[in-house]
Amino acid sequence: MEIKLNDVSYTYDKVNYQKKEVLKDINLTFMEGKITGIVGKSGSGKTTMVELIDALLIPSSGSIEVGNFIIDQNSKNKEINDLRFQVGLVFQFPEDQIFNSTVKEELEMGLKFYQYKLNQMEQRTLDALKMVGLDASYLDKNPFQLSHGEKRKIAIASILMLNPSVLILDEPTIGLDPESKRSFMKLIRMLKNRFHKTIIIVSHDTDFLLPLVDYVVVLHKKHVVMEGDKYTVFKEVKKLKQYGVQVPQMIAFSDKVLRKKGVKIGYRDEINDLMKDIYRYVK
Amino acid sequence: MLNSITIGRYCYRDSLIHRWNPVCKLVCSILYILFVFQVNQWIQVCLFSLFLLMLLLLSGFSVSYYFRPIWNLRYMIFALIFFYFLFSVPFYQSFLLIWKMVVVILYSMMVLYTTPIGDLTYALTVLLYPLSWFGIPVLLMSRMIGLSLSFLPNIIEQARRILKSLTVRGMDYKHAHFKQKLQIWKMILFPLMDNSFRYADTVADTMEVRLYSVDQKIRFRKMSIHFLDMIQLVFHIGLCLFAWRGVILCGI
Repeated sequence: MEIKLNDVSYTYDKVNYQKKEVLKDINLTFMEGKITGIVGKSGSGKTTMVELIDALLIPSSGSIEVGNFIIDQNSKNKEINDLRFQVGLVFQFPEDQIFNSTVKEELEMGLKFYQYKLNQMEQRTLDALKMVGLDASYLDKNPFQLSHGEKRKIAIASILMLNPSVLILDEPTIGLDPESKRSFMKLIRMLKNRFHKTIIIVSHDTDFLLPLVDYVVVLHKKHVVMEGDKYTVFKEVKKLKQYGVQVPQMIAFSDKVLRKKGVKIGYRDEINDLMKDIYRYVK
Repeated sequence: MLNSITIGRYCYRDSLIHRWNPVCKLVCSILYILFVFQVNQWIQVCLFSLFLLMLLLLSGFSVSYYFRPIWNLRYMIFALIFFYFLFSVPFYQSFLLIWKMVVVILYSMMVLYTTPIGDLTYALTVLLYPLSWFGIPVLLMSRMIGLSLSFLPNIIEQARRILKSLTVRGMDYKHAHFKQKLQIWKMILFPLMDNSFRYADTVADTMEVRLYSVDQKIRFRKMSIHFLDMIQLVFHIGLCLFAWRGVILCGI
């Protein structure tokens, strides 16, 4: 499902006294079946953008096309609810997304609310757990007693229960140890390759994004300042620093080697590939 | 829905009311509330309302900013009118009682919007100080009130986050019918309590780590009452007295 933002602007608290424009005249396309990373300094409007895509916020001006749905000032309630089955948003803090005392109840909650048929639901519950790399033994566990990484997986599974075409992850790596990060990467890749989901990841962690994403969008002071293929964006070291975005270590390393030694070792996603390149050069 | 709950939210503006000494502000608010509950005539209530309107405008916020949270209390107000009707209180009197309640809420909101929690705690400590002669832990009490007030916006923020998480799973509070709304509230309470207890624990630990103790009387800024504060105080009391007794003495 393709997502298009046409001249989207958003101002917080329009009627309130404290007006704050967060996004201004954004034109952007999130391609179907691709993973897009949104990076930018805190307060640049990343989270607002994804909340607009999920119709949690309605654009102050402009419109957002999500497949056949159009989100603008004239959007109808019924359409918005249907849209939420198509676009799944996983928030930063998994603790806020857990409501029930067992994983099974937690996963079934959204569908039960809409009186979904039980026989279909059980199958979906198992499928969703499988998709996030957990097994049926988790069904009766208390989600509040799980680890941070597992809670996050449960939060994703409960969104996957709705079978959305688009999955949005807001700061998915916060509080995860390196091992959990790696398993999380595997999960996202699998969701893209096997289930052809369109995935949007909002993160500060560019090292996490580099091997995952196909396309990168940089937000800075209400505007999209850079967008394009991940290498095209990430190799602009000076610009990224200017926008307060951390340059991925592997790109920074390749760049440094090129600058200091004049050796072009190219850009790699994985550390192993980079090491192979260096070894080949040294040899 | 939760955006309009603004209790305990201090917002900085460069206004006369913001600059007013918190102790004077608290004294005046207590006096105002006492006076408002004393009056029974329409003309007196109107005068107090006009006086409040003047204060609200002086505080640097728009009047609609104050009335938006009151709009959320409409169901409670209707319920009150209904109960008054049940107990055969005349409509005129019930309306007067409810309006007095609204005026008091608006005044308290003005005090909270214009006074930082720390200053409010200090003002409470000063006002309650005489109670310490009878062995009442005044400092502890005022700190507890201050902490509870600063805790409120956090709980509202957490409730907002939880509500968003429910919305993305198809449980949109705004578009749900009454039964679904009740279900959603039930779902909010469970994680909200869990998060609040965890947050309270963190706050307690943080205070302990920073060597914060109730016995220590620490203030980084010495608060003093200026001439302008005194004029404001006298003016406020004068206007309250006029609205309370003046209209009767003038024979209106």
